[in-house]
Amino acid sequence: MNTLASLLGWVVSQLQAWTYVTKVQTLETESFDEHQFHFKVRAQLTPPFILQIRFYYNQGYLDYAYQLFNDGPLLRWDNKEDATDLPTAPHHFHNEQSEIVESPLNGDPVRDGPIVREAVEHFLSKPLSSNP
Amino acid sequence: MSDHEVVALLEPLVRHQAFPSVEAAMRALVRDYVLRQIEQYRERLVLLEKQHGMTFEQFSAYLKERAALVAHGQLDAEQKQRVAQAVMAEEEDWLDWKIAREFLEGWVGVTAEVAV
Repeated sequence: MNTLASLLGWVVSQLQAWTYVTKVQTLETESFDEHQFHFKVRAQLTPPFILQIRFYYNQGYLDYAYQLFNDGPLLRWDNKEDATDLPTAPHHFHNEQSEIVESPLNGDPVRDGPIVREAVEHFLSKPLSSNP
Repeated sequence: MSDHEVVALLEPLVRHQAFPSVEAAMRALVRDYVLRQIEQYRERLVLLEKQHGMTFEQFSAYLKERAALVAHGQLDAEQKQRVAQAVMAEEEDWLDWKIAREFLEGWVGVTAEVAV
Protein backbone atom coordinates (compact mmCIF):
# COMPACT_ATOMS: atom_id res chain seq x y z
CA MET A 1 0.00 0.00 0.00
CA ASN A 2 2.36 2.69 -1.15
CA THR A 3 0.40 4.25 -3.99
CA LEU A 4 -2.32 6.87 -3.78
CA ALA A 5 -4.92 4.52 -5.25
CA SER A 6 -4.08 1.56 -3.02
CA LEU A 7 -3.81 3.48 0.26
CA LEU A 8 -6.83 5.69 -0.38
CA GLY A 9 -8.89 2.70 -1.51
CA TRP A 10 -7.93 0.79 1.59
CA VAL A 11 -8.77 3.67 3.96
CA VAL A 12 -12.14 4.28 2.33
CA SER A 13 -13.06 0.59 2.39
CA GLN A 14 -12.07 0.28 6.06
CA LEU A 15 -14.21 3.28 6.97
CA GLN A 16 -17.16 2.07 4.91
CA ALA A 17 -17.05 -1.27 6.72
CA TRP A 18 -17.29 0.42 10.12
CA THR A 19 -20.82 0.35 11.53
CA TYR A 20 -20.46 3.77 13.19
CA VAL A 21 -19.80 5.39 9.79
CA THR A 22 -22.74 6.71 7.78
CA LYS A 23 -20.85 8.53 5.03
CA VAL A 24 -17.28 8.67 3.70
CA GLN A 25 -16.01 11.63 1.70
CA THR A 26 -12.65 12.09 0.02
CA LEU A 27 -12.01 15.80 0.39
CA GLU A 28 -8.56 16.17 -1.13
CA THR A 29 -6.16 14.14 -3.24
CA GLU A 30 -2.96 15.40 -4.81
CA SER A 31 0.08 13.64 -6.14
CA PHE A 32 3.39 14.72 -7.54
CA ASP A 33 4.45 11.26 -8.59
CA GLU A 34 3.84 7.72 -7.43
CA HIS A 35 6.16 8.25 -4.46
CA GLN A 36 4.70 11.55 -3.28
CA PHE A 37 1.01 12.01 -2.61
CA HIS A 38 -1.49 13.32 -0.08
CA PHE A 39 -5.14 12.73 0.68
CA LYS A 40 -7.76 13.76 3.20
CA VAL A 41 -10.82 11.65 3.96
CA ARG A 42 -13.69 12.35 6.34
CA ALA A 43 -16.10 9.83 7.83
CA GLN A 44 -19.38 10.96 9.35
CA LEU A 45 -19.91 9.09 12.60
CA THR A 46 -22.77 9.35 15.05
CA PRO A 47 -23.73 13.03 14.70
CA PRO A 48 -22.10 15.42 15.40
CA PHE A 49 -18.82 13.52 15.33
CA ILE A 50 -16.53 13.29 12.30
CA LEU A 51 -13.28 11.38 11.91
CA GLN A 52 -10.77 12.89 9.51
CA ILE A 53 -7.81 10.90 8.20
CA ARG A 54 -4.88 12.50 6.36
CA PHE A 55 -1.93 10.72 4.86
CA TYR A 56 1.03 12.39 3.19
CA TYR A 57 3.44 9.89 1.70
CA ASN A 58 6.79 11.09 0.39
CA GLN A 59 9.60 8.77 -0.71
CA GLY A 60 8.74 6.09 1.83
CA TYR A 61 7.91 8.38 4.77
CA LEU A 62 4.31 8.72 5.91
CA ASP A 63 2.93 11.75 7.75
CA TYR A 64 -0.43 10.83 9.22
CA ALA A 65 -3.15 12.53 11.23
CA TYR A 66 -6.33 10.95 12.56
CA GLN A 67 -8.59 13.57 14.10
CA LEU A 68 -11.99 13.27 15.73
CA PHE A 69 -13.93 16.50 15.84
CA ASN A 70 -17.39 18.01 16.18
CA ASP A 71 -17.41 21.81 16.08
CA GLY A 72 -13.79 21.69 17.24
CA PRO A 73 -11.01 19.11 17.50
CA LEU A 74 -11.48 16.46 20.21
CA LEU A 75 -8.90 13.70 19.73
CA ARG A 76 -5.88 13.59 17.45
CA TRP A 77 -3.15 11.08 16.71
CA ASP A 78 -0.31 12.26 14.50
CA ASN A 79 3.42 12.09 13.93
CA LYS A 80 4.33 15.74 13.44
CA GLU A 81 8.08 15.98 13.78
CA ASP A 82 9.48 17.82 16.81
CA ALA A 83 6.06 18.11 18.40
CA THR A 84 7.07 16.57 21.71
CA ASP A 85 9.91 14.90 23.57
CA LEU A 86 7.78 11.91 24.49
CA PRO A 87 9.35 8.43 24.26
CA THR A 88 7.02 7.60 21.36
CA ALA A 89 7.92 10.78 19.41
CA PRO A 90 7.16 11.71 16.73
CA HIS A 91 4.01 9.68 17.39
CA HIS A 92 1.78 11.44 19.92
CA PHE A 93 -1.83 11.62 21.00
CA HIS A 94 -3.90 14.70 21.85
CA ASN A 95 -6.39 13.25 24.34
CA GLU A 96 -9.73 14.44 25.68
CA GLN A 97 -8.09 15.79 28.83
CA SER A 98 -6.31 18.38 26.63
CA GLU A 99 -3.00 16.60 27.12
CA ILE A 100 -0.37 15.53 24.62
CA VAL A 101 0.64 12.03 25.59
CA GLU A 102 2.41 8.92 24.28
CA SER A 103 0.74 7.30 21.30
CA PRO A 104 0.27 3.58 20.65
CA LEU A 105 0.44 4.26 16.89
CA ASN A 106 3.58 3.62 14.85
CA GLY A 107 2.66 4.92 11.38
CA ASP A 108 1.61 1.59 9.90
CA PRO A 109 -1.99 2.21 8.78
CA VAL A 110 -2.90 -1.49 8.95
CA ARG A 111 -1.79 -1.68 12.58
CA ASP A 112 -2.92 1.82 13.58
CA GLY A 113 -6.40 1.77 12.05
CA PRO A 114 -7.94 -0.69 14.54
CA ILE A 115 -6.34 1.16 17.49
CA VAL A 116 -7.87 4.46 16.40
CA ARG A 117 -11.16 2.77 15.71
CA GLU A 118 -11.31 1.21 19.16
CA ALA A 119 -10.43 4.49 20.87
CA VAL A 120 -13.05 6.40 18.87
CA GLU A 121 -15.70 3.77 19.61
CA HIS A 122 -14.83 4.02 23.30
CA PHE A 123 -15.18 7.81 23.12
CA LEU A 124 -18.51 7.57 21.29
CA SER A 125 -19.90 4.99 23.71
CA LYS A 126 -19.70 7.47 26.60
CA PRO A 127 -22.76 9.45 27.58
CA LEU A 128 -22.94 12.73 25.64
CA SER A 129 -22.59 14.79 28.81
CA SER A 130 -19.14 13.31 29.49
CA ASN A 131 -17.86 14.25 26.04
CA PRO A 132 -16.49 17.78 25.54
CA MET B 1 -1.68 7.71 -26.46
CA SER B 2 0.47 7.35 -29.55
CA ASP B 3 2.64 10.11 -31.05
CA HIS B 4 0.18 10.28 -33.92
CA GLU B 5 -2.73 10.83 -31.54
CA VAL B 6 -0.82 13.58 -29.71
CA VAL B 7 -0.14 15.35 -32.98
CA ALA B 8 -3.80 14.97 -34.01
CA LEU B 9 -4.86 16.46 -30.67
CA LEU B 10 -2.64 19.51 -31.04
CA GLU B 11 -3.04 20.05 -34.76
CA PRO B 12 -6.24 22.18 -34.47
CA LEU B 13 -4.30 24.63 -32.29
CA VAL B 14 -1.73 24.99 -35.06
CA ARG B 15 -4.41 25.22 -37.77
CA HIS B 16 -6.11 28.05 -35.87
CA GLN B 17 -2.72 29.75 -35.53
CA ALA B 18 -2.63 29.60 -31.74
CA PHE B 19 0.84 28.09 -32.11
CA PRO B 20 3.27 28.03 -35.05
CA SER B 21 3.86 24.26 -34.76
CA VAL B 22 2.83 21.14 -32.89
CA GLU B 23 6.16 21.19 -31.07
CA ALA B 24 5.63 24.81 -30.00
CA ALA B 25 2.12 23.94 -28.79
CA MET B 26 3.41 21.00 -26.80
CA ARG B 27 6.17 23.05 -25.19
CA ALA B 28 3.81 25.88 -24.28
CA LEU B 29 1.17 23.59 -22.79
CA VAL B 30 3.68 21.69 -20.71
CA ARG B 31 5.27 24.94 -19.53
CA ASP B 32 1.88 26.42 -18.61
CA TYR B 33 0.88 23.31 -16.70
CA VAL B 34 4.09 23.24 -14.67
CA LEU B 35 3.96 26.98 -13.98
CA ARG B 36 0.33 26.67 -12.86
CA GLN B 37 1.31 23.98 -10.37
CA ILE B 38 4.10 26.17 -9.04
CA GLU B 39 1.78 29.14 -8.75
CA GLN B 40 -0.82 27.06 -6.90
CA TYR B 41 1.66 25.92 -4.23
CA ARG B 42 3.25 29.37 -3.94
CA GLU B 43 -0.20 30.82 -3.31
CA ARG B 44 -0.84 28.27 -0.57
CA LEU B 45 2.47 29.17 1.08
CA VAL B 46 1.73 32.89 0.89
CA LEU B 47 -1.70 32.32 2.45
CA LEU B 48 -0.27 30.26 5.31
CA GLU B 49 2.48 32.81 5.98
CA LYS B 50 -0.11 35.58 5.96
CA GLN B 51 -2.53 33.64 8.17
CA HIS B 52 0.09 32.92 10.82
CA GLY B 53 2.28 35.96 10.33
CA MET B 54 5.50 33.97 10.21
CA THR B 55 7.63 31.65 8.11
CA PHE B 56 7.38 27.87 8.18
CA GLU B 57 10.53 27.62 10.28
CA GLN B 58 9.17 30.13 12.77
CA PHE B 59 5.82 28.34 12.84
CA SER B 60 7.55 25.00 13.54
CA ALA B 61 9.39 26.53 16.50
CA TYR B 62 6.22 28.26 17.70
CA LEU B 63 4.29 24.97 17.60
CA LYS B 64 6.94 23.24 19.63
CA GLU B 65 6.60 25.93 22.30
CA ARG B 66 2.81 25.62 22.20
CA ALA B 67 3.00 21.84 22.67
CA ALA B 68 5.35 22.36 25.63
CA LEU B 69 2.87 24.86 27.06
CA VAL B 70 0.12 22.22 26.91
CA ALA B 71 2.41 19.61 28.44
CA HIS B 72 4.14 21.61 31.15
CA GLY B 73 2.55 25.07 31.31
CA GLN B 74 0.69 26.51 34.27
CA LEU B 75 -2.72 26.79 32.66
CA ASP B 76 -6.14 26.46 34.19
CA ALA B 77 -8.49 23.84 32.71
CA GLU B 78 -10.24 26.25 30.38
CA GLN B 79 -7.00 27.77 29.08
CA LYS B 80 -5.51 24.32 28.64
CA GLN B 81 -8.48 23.12 26.60
CA ARG B 82 -8.37 26.24 24.43
CA VAL B 83 -4.65 25.96 23.76
CA ALA B 84 -4.83 22.18 23.20
CA GLN B 85 -7.58 22.62 20.60
CA ALA B 86 -5.62 25.42 18.93
CA VAL B 87 -2.51 23.23 18.77
CA MET B 88 -4.48 20.47 17.03
CA ALA B 89 -5.72 22.97 14.43
CA GLU B 90 -2.22 24.41 14.07
CA GLU B 91 -0.75 20.96 13.48
CA GLU B 92 -3.21 20.61 10.60
CA ASP B 93 -1.88 23.86 9.13
CA TRP B 94 1.68 22.70 9.72
CA LEU B 95 1.02 19.59 7.64
CA ASP B 96 -0.62 21.66 4.89
CA TRP B 97 2.43 23.90 4.95
CA LYS B 98 4.92 21.02 4.79
CA ILE B 99 3.03 19.44 1.89
CA ALA B 100 2.88 22.72 -0.06
CA ARG B 101 6.62 23.31 0.43
CA GLU B 102 7.58 19.83 -0.71
CA PHE B 103 5.21 19.80 -3.68
CA LEU B 104 6.50 23.22 -4.72
CA GLU B 105 10.06 21.94 -4.50
CA GLY B 106 9.10 19.01 -6.72
CA TRP B 107 7.44 21.18 -9.38
CA VAL B 108 10.31 23.67 -9.39
CA GLY B 109 12.57 20.68 -10.08
CA VAL B 110 10.36 19.75 -13.04
CA THR B 111 10.96 23.16 -14.64
CA ALA B 112 14.61 22.21 -15.05
CA GLU B 113 13.66 18.81 -16.50
CA VAL B 114 11.34 20.28 -19.13
CA ALA B 115 13.49 23.38 -19.66
CA VAL B 116 10.66 25.89 -19.28
